[in-house]
Amino acid sequence: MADSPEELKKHLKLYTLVGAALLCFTVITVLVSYVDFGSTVINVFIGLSIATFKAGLVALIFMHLNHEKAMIYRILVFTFFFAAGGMVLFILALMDPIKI
Amino acid sequence: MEIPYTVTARPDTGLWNAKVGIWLFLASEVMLFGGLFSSYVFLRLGADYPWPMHELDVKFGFINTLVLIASSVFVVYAWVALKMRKWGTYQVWMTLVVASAALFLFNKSIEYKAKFAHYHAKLQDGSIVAGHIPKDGGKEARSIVFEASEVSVDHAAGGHHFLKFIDNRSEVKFTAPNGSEVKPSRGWFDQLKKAQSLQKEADALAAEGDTEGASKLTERIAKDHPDFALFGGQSAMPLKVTPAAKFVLPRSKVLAWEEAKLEMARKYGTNLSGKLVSDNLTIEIDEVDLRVYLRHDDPKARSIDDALIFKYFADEAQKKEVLEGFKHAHDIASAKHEAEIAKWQAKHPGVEYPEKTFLDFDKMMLKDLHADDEHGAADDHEEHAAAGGSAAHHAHPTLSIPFSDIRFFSNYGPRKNTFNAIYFTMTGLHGLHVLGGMLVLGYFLLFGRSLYLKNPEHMANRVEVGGLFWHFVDLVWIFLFPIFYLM
Repeated sequence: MADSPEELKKHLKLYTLVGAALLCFTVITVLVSYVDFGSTVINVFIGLSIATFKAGLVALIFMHLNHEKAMIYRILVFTFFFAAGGMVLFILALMDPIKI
Repeated sequence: MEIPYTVTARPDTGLWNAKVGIWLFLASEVMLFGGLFSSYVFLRLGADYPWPMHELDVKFGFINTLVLIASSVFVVYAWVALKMRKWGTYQVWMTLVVASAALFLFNKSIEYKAKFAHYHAKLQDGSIVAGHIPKDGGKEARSIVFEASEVSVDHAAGGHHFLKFIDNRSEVKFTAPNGSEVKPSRGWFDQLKKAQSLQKEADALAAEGDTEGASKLTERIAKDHPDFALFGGQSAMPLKVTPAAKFVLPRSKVLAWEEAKLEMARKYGTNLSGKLVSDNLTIEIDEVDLRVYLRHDDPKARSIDDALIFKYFADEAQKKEVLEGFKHAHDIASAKHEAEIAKWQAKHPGVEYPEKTFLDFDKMMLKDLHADDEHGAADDHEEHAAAGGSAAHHAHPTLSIPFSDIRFFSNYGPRKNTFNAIYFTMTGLHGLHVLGGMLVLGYFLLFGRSLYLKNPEHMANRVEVGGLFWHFVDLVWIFLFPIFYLM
């Protein structure tokens, strides 16, 4: 992670920009939540999409995931597989035709 | 011994150790919060009651989101300052990070406090009122008030503890069955306990055949603890009380009660005889929920006039106002609903309209029970909690509801419903992560100088991993905020 002072200064600019973007998108999230796009599903989808975009900015830029080493990516692949799996499993449970 | 690879990369991973370590830890944290998020979805989709939406105060969540995002930016600035070997700059930014964390937790504490001060009662007919316990309602606001003319005391179990529940303690006189006055107090019961143990000793001596020793002890008991004899060898004794003692008892301290008798929780060893004065909840309401009366699929649909809560308005004028307000809102909502059905029917002739049950009627909450509709009940709670729940700034109707009419009573804490349970679980766990991160980063701020002077790159790496944890905490909040506050 050894960078030269010039590169670090460039990073600083990027961080400030991303920070400002995050603050803006927070405001957007709140404003958008008061608009009804038709169905609950669409409303939730839009809200979560904005949240995912913000999370992506934090993860990729603040947490340096845009230029990380392979080891970290390998760890995270497992993480996302199991986290997604956790979500899928309970959705399957909800869809189960056998009602208790 | 020097810990290896704190700065230089390990050949097999290609990274210095802490980096791999923190990402493994964050991976486990993703599973932790991921599991809780899926619990949230599970609870919400499976809820058999209207899932509370827009019930949390958005401005608190919004401010907290801005605070955490700002702190994420600050921590990255702090790391860059360390990489550029600017210790002073690093200190400034890291202080801001810790301050932001403290501000976040402070806001959280205000939110939580408001929830614990806000109460909710569901009556037997399904109607719901919510509000605050009036400050001057005091202890009686949700206690059992019982006027006891007879109190049975037990020096072996409980002793003096029942005394603190007597409101008019200074006025009452206790009389033993033989007519002599006794003065129950902590000291009195302690003496009786001493007498009891002496008696046991005396009995043991008598059993061994030492009648002289036994009689000596018995004399001593009679001299030093005269009241012991009043108990007649038992540990319990009924005492008459004049005037009647007014007991104000929290419901958790009472085992069973009825019109003329009351049994306190076992540990008090006290039973009362007398008169049950009241077992009411006094609540200053700011929210009435009558959605239970709007189920179209109920063939015996009742009228809102029949709602149980309207029995308990002390002020007729207020009651009329609330009832009119409700009917007015109901007519508007009904008309809208009928219009929607008509529109849908026009598009689908011959098909029956699929009733979506109570979720359609969130307009029937009637959250504002005062003339100026400037702010909703949600905003009131924080002000109420700050003011100690008093009615100072608004005339909210005060109801006195007997607990026999209440099916469920709690504050807006985790036990109220599954939404509150998962809300407190997730935001509470997240808050603990904020606290933990704040402590670690605070440590780096206050005690990092010596490591920085010895090995500045190592210090920068430490701050980097601390920052990674901090960003993760921010990430969780970025999802928590819209999910709980906005959806």
